[in-house]
Amino acid sequence: MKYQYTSSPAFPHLRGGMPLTDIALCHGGHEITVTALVDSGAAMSVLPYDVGLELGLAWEEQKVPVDVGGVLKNASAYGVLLQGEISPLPPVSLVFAWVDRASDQIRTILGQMNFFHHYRIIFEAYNDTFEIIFEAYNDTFEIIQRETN
Amino acid sequence: MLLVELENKLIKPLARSDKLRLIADIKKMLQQEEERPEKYFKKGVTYPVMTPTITPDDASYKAAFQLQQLWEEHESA
Repeated sequence: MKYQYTSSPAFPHLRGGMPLTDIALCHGGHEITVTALVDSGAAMSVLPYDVGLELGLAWEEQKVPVDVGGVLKNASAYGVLLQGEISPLPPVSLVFAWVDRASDQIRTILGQMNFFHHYRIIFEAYNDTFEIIFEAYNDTFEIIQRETN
Repeated sequence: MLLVELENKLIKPLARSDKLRLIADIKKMLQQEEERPEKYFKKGVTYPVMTPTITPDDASYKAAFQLQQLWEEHESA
């Protein structure tokens, strides 16, 4: 599925925008649809505190602490598992770092683990589009290893 | 109900296609039951968010627009 980059009315002359997508998140009979940032610069997906509460998660009951870094280095987080569905693609299991930051402070982020493991993501900013492709792992891709020192 | 009863009464009479579907459904069920957050997050590992602006406001648009203006000024110079 191809999606348009989301622009801001405040900056009508800005080329492109943000790779945002609506995703339905489910947990224990609760469901909420949020607008999330598809973010290759995030090592993991991030769930704001209040979104987790709306999904019926209880902070005190969490058992998997997660050490988050980068711009969230001072945040506390727990690993949680949700069902996510970007219609019309099939639902998938998504793991999130549920952080103690509200959604007016951070966006819901769909990051490398494990959103990018389910889908092939192609950013085409020059076309103002990005593509989310659901397919089984195809081992015919040529994998180019990056050399590290 | 015992598994043997389940197998003889309910599963054996199914058509081959339904049995294959059942295998696929049970496989999916097992995968979902085995999903745990700790399978993904390792202790002692820091998981960073490197995106500079993740606030749900216009901050990232503003920053991008400022850079675009810089780029356009450079292009027109």
